[in-house]
Amino acid sequence: MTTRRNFLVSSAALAGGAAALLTGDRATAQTSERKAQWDESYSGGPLDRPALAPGLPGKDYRPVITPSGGSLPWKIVDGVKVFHLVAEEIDHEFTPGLNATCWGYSGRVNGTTIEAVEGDRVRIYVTNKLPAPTTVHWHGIYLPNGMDGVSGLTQRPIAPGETFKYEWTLRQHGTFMYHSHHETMIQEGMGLIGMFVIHPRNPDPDMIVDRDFSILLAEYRVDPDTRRPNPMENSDYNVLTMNGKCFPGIESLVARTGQRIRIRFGNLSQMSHHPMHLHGFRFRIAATDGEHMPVSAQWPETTVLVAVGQTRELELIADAPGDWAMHCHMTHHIMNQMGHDLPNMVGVVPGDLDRKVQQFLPGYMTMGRTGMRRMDMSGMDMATGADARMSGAAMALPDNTVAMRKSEGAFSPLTVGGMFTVFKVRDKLSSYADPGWYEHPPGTVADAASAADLRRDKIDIS
Amino acid sequence: MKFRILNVAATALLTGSLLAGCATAPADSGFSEVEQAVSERLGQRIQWRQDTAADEAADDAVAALLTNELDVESAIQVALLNNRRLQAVYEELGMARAGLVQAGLLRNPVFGASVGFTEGGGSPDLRFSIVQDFLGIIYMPLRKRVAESEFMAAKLRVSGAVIDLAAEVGAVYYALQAAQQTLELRRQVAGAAAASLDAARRLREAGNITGLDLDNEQALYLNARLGVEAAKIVITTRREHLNRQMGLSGTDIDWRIAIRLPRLPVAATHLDALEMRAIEASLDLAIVRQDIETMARRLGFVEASALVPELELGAEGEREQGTWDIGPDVALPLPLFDQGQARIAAAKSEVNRLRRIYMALASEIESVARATRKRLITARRMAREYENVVLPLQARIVEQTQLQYNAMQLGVFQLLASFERQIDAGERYVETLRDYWLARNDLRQILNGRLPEPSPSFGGVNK
Repeated sequence: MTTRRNFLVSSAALAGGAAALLTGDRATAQTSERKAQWDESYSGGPLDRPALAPGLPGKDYRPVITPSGGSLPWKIVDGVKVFHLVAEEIDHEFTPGLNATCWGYSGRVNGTTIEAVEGDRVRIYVTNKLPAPTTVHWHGIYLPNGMDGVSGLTQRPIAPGETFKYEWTLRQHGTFMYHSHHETMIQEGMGLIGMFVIHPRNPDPDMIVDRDFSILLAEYRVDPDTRRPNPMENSDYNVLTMNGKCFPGIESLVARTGQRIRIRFGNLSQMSHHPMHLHGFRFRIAATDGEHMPVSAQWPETTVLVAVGQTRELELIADAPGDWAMHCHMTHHIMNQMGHDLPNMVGVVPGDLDRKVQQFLPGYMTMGRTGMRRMDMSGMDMATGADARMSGAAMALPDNTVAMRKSEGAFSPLTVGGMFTVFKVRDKLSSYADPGWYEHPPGTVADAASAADLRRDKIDIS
Repeated sequence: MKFRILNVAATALLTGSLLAGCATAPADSGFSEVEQAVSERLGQRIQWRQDTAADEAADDAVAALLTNELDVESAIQVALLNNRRLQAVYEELGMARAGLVQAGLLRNPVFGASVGFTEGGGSPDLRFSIVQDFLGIIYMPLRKRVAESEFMAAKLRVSGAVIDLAAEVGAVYYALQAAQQTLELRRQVAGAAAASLDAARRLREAGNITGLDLDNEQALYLNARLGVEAAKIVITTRREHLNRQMGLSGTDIDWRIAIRLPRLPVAATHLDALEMRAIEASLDLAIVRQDIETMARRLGFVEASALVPELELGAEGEREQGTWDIGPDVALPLPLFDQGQARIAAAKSEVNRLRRIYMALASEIESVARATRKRLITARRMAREYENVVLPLQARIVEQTQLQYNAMQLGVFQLLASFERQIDAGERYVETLRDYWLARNDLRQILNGRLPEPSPSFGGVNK
């Protein structure tokens, strides 16, 4: 069967390439056919492209929203957008009850977003206030090789106390990241990562959105009763974060019904890819870290896999009100500080085990039999109705941990943590502050089936 | 520091009549002096059972003590009144007293008769003779002096035997308490292991762990159970040892003692100048001195104490006495063929042997005193460390493990294992506390005049 491809090849062979074929010059023949598929440039074009006037918020771009974070301030000096990024040790709160000494940029861990516009000339001063040398690599960005920030390869490292200057002209737009490239395992593992958003100059109308969110995914190992992430951890991370926060410490994403939404994901986890899933909607993948795609190439998903080092831009219209969960679909990644070093208690009949153990350990209670449900505040085990030995008191926990801690939900305590947040869409909004829980229209909430319903539909529940 | 020990211990020990050279053997064979010494040193009373009605008083006292929980002093008191081997030792006093009496008696005169028949007939020749042991009369004072010295030595030896028994009872008593406490702890470990095994069984039933894991838990449990049985055997053995020491049998063996060792006393023992105090109090040295005295009296020395070596505390202090010769009043028969050279030489050797033993014993006593002091100080420090640091730390570890369990960072097996490790630390604490009380018991024995373990070259009475 002759495919279109074969036909083209053969017809070209008969035309310009024919002579080449006859002479046996195969390379020339192939080049002339395939020239159409190569881009003009894969690195932003000529380095000496002149800079444009610095883009201004409101006028040239709508600023991005970094939930639980913010954008690095800048000033204009002679037409150059000047930033000052400080790499420093920070006492960071992952979520209330869990604090750790991390490394971060300019007062935030993961949550400092650098924002600029294509064509800006940026000058970024990096001050190293860490006890170790560092660099900053601008992930996915076209720049002179010497600004690339790879310690030892493109620059000498920034010694503690030193301030380096990175400067170049932005020749692209999209969602990018920045992170240390000196002893990357340690320094990323301690928190030295951030998002770098470059807005297009004079964007196409179909690239304009009403709400633009930036979420940087990461993972840490912080054991209960410790106060520092362990960057040596290889695979058993227990604190999964968006912009450096784990649920419920992460801000919700708030939008009004009908708004155009863009969500930018970046993943600088040490070792894990994250399939990010949004309830209630499909979205289109509008951009990778390469570039924005034409609409015809944007493919739909409800779950987008963001591998380590990748970014993805999703776009949708928020035309369904409600509290929509948005989270990594790896089940361990929506637990806070879950331990894995313990026996599987699901389905175990405890009998008089608790009494036997309490002879020696009065505070003991068998846990995990029916899942993760622990005593609630009244001391009753909801699974069995049995009275807890410690009435009125929740089980004591080690210092500085949120393991086993539930957060308040609309209907009952939520059993999630980690890489989880809520996309809150409301018909009416007076502001973009958190609007609380969604008020469901009557008849739209799943609840116990009534006897009448069961009877009518002849559902046998015996 | 040199010092001369005369018969210090002897005079402290025995009041009264020795130095006066009293020739009469006391009616009680000197037992009252032993009683006094024991009362002063041990605070206990002894009684010589002589199959009289007075024996009942001892039996009643023992019965009264056995109705209550025995503390260490009561157990010692029961042993001193009831132990029959000790009663056998008392008979040596009787034998020594008899020796004293014998020394004051002249040999019976020998009546001789002979009949002589002459050749050729005639009346037989009758001759009678009475041979009196005139030499015996001359030598009687010397023999009495020797017998007195031997009697003195016997009293010292018997006192030593009483002190030894008291110390032995103390040692077994504390060892029994330690064994009882260990059993308590091992029962806890076995209980925790049983709970762990129960959890493993339930997990296996739910299909959540392997058979291998269950078997391993069972092995741990059985180990703990066997530890309980082993502790019970030790208790039985020690109880029977005390029964033997207290001379009990039949229904009397159901006595009770406090389960746990006493706590460390708040005040530390007075340990200054321990070596000197041990030397001064030593019955062992007094006995050797007395034996030297006895030998010297045999050789006719008037100043027998001149032969006792001077002791220099902490140094090899034997001073050369030079050669010494026997005095004029040697108890020897008329030297015709046998001028007694062999017996003199033998006696000289014996005195020298006793002098060497004396020096050896003195340095051994000092060394044992030092070692016992060190043991006591170290055991106290270690027991304090357990009480103040180790055991509270182990308790904190279990608490923290419980918190980590609550946060589901670890499971029930690790939690119970941390509890078992806490109990193990408790077992080591009991051993340390026991070592303290054993060291204290040894120290008491040393200050009462006996070494906890006799030197190999010296034979105690009852060892």
